[in-house]
Amino acid sequence: MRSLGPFHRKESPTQTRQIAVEQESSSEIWGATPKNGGMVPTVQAYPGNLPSCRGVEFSTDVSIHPGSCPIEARWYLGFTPGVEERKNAAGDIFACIPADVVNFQP
Amino acid sequence: MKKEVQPIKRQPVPYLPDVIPQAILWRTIYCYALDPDRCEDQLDHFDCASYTVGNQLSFDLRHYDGHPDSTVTVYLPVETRDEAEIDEAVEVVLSGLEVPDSGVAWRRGEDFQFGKLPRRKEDRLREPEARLLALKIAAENKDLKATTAYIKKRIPEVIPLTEKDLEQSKSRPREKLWQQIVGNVISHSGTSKSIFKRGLASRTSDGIKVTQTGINYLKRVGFLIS
Repeated sequence: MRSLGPFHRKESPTQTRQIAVEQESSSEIWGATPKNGGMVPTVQAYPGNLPSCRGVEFSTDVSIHPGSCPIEARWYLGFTPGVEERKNAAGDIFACIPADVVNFQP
Repeated sequence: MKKEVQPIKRQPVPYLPDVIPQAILWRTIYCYALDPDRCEDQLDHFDCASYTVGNQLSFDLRHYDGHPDSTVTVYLPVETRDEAEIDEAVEVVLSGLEVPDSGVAWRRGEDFQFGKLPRRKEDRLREPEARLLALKIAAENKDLKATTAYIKKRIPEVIPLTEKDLEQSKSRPREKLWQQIVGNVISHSGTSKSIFKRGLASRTSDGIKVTQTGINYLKRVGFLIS
């Protein structure tokens, strides 16, 4: 168990079953650049345990960015210390935080 | 000196791409936007309304499915980073939308704990907010009319009532405090702040009808798209 958490992400078109499997096996959570003109790849999550729905829970050692708020946690590539850069096969850049992930969307 | 409240313009455009949450209100998005859009981003699905104030400020109101019920969050563009600039922008948003101070659960600069969103003790429905809500509820209907009974049915759906709201009225023993407040809005026609005296609504046999002046007012506070 890492020092900060739990956080959760709910199952969605960007938090698919396949992605959850990859998050758990790689111990990493990735976040894309927001669509339609976004500038900064960002990992976003809700604080706390996963409510009664499918998704993943995780903890991390990377401190939350000050731009977070009581009901959303955020980590920005290039702005939040400890956030790493990743690229997918298409060359798209993602923000990445190392995390212990528990998959509740098998 | 009190600053002039700037008109808010609701925008029929897609939501802002890159935003940061800067304030959270203990109110639903339906208090501030007729028919918010249903959107989706990499965090979750959300209800959203986008606005501008003059040429300088853009902001979104959003309620993500994973946020606490009956809250709405003010998002400013990611480029707005300076603390003083954020504070001023949030002030413009809150005053333009006519959000009572007591309805603000958290705003940038205040300490917070994740998942904790305490309600301010003094928060309850008061007449200025009830007047505006009555107008908005009537404006939800195509004929711009709403009965008093309908307004009283709809209010608890758009604003989370507090213990204080649910206290028994002292002057109307069969009503809760919030029901008395709403009743006052409809029945007090002679006071200078009344929606009738200000020309925002006219009386019907069992409620109110929003006038053109009222529609213009609801556009100025961003509830309706201009």
